[in-house]
Amino acid sequence: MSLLEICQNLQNSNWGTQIRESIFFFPIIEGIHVIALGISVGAVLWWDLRLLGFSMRNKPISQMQANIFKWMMPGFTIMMITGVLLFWCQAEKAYNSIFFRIKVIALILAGVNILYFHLKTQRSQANWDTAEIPPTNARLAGLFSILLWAIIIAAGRLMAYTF
Amino acid sequence: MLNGGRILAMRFAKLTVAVLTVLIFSSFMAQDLLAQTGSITGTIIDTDGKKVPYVNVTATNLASGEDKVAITGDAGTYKIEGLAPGDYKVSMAVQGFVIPEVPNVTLGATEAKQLNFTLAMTFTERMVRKTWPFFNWSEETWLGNVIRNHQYPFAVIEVVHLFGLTLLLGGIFLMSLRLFGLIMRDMPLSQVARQLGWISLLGLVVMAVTGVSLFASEALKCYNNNMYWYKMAFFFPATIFHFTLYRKVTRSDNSQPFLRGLTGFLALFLWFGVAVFGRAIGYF
Repeated sequence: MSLLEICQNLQNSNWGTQIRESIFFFPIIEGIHVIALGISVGAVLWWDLRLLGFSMRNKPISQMQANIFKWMMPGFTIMMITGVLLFWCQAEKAYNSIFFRIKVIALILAGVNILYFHLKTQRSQANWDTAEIPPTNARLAGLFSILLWAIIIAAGRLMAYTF
Repeated sequence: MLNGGRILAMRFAKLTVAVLTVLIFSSFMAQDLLAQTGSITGTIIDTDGKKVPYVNVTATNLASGEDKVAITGDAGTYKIEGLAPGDYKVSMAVQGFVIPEVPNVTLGATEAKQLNFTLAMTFTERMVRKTWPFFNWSEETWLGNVIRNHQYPFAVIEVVHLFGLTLLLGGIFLMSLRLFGLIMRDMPLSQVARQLGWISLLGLVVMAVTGVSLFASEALKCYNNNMYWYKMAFFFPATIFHFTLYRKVTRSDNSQPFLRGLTGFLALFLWFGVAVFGRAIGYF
């Protein structure tokens, strides 16, 4: 089964049709998706601004992480769940949307950026944990994160206009 | 020359047509005589004497529970026909008016009852209608015309509006966590507020500028969209709250934990409300 066929089957499944055609279900899921976006990406942004040295300069980076990571995760989980439901009910349209493809690529890149930062860059964190402005590698991770999330948000919003 | 058989056939045909005609007419008459239904008609005006269109008037037969509905037109009149004799409950549904209590109506056979109503406009509806010229003006502004008449500006501004939302909600959410004492406990509240304040303020400014632009391009659509009014019902209190109580409490290092908790809760409640109804405008 090709990817397109999987998407078609998802869109035409009972659940997919029910979500798509219900008066309130779709807007409610979409509303939750937007609120979760605000709180989770908003929290990531604060973390990125710390890495860039624009905010919370006098706070060690490890402490920033300890404080906000556990509050970001529920937000991202809600975004993933609602996002999957929204995709489910219009999978075929999403498959054919250039903005959806851009969004998926940007999401993957954002994931790679996070993994690289945690597995590689953070190994030497002890040396720059309290630095007001962290080294270039860490600053780049923050910059990429902001740019990629901006692309994800923009593509996600523009997607709806092509449906 | 016609032969005898054809003449007979033609007579038979004529007779059939005559009998059928009589049967059809008498059946109409019989139906009228047997059914003997009544009707309820009337005019609905408001307290200023203006006709009220789009009122759903329902007559419910108290014995059978059967409903019959009519809607008033531009002339404010309605007519519910085909009502069997009996007792009826008459009810109305219309937005923006106070619905009066209507005593039950007893309808006799073939009776045409006239029920006129005068409805009082609700305070909210009166206020909303007063704002209509502003909405009309907004849509005619240069900004409104430019955005409405081009393909891309609306979508692009909408994206930037969403960027603003991320900054605003992110800042508010993190600040609320600090107000609840859940994060950054070792940092004084006022210091966290200084670090987060500009993020939410920037978000608010971005949202305001883009929001006004989006509004100008479809002001009249907003005027007729309930979700828009719900959003505003959250937005104005949220903004006033943001620059008064919220500002004061987040900048103070010795406020009561209860007051902090309340402030955090109010901030989340008000801004989430703005976000949810803002998103909903597009669906209604």
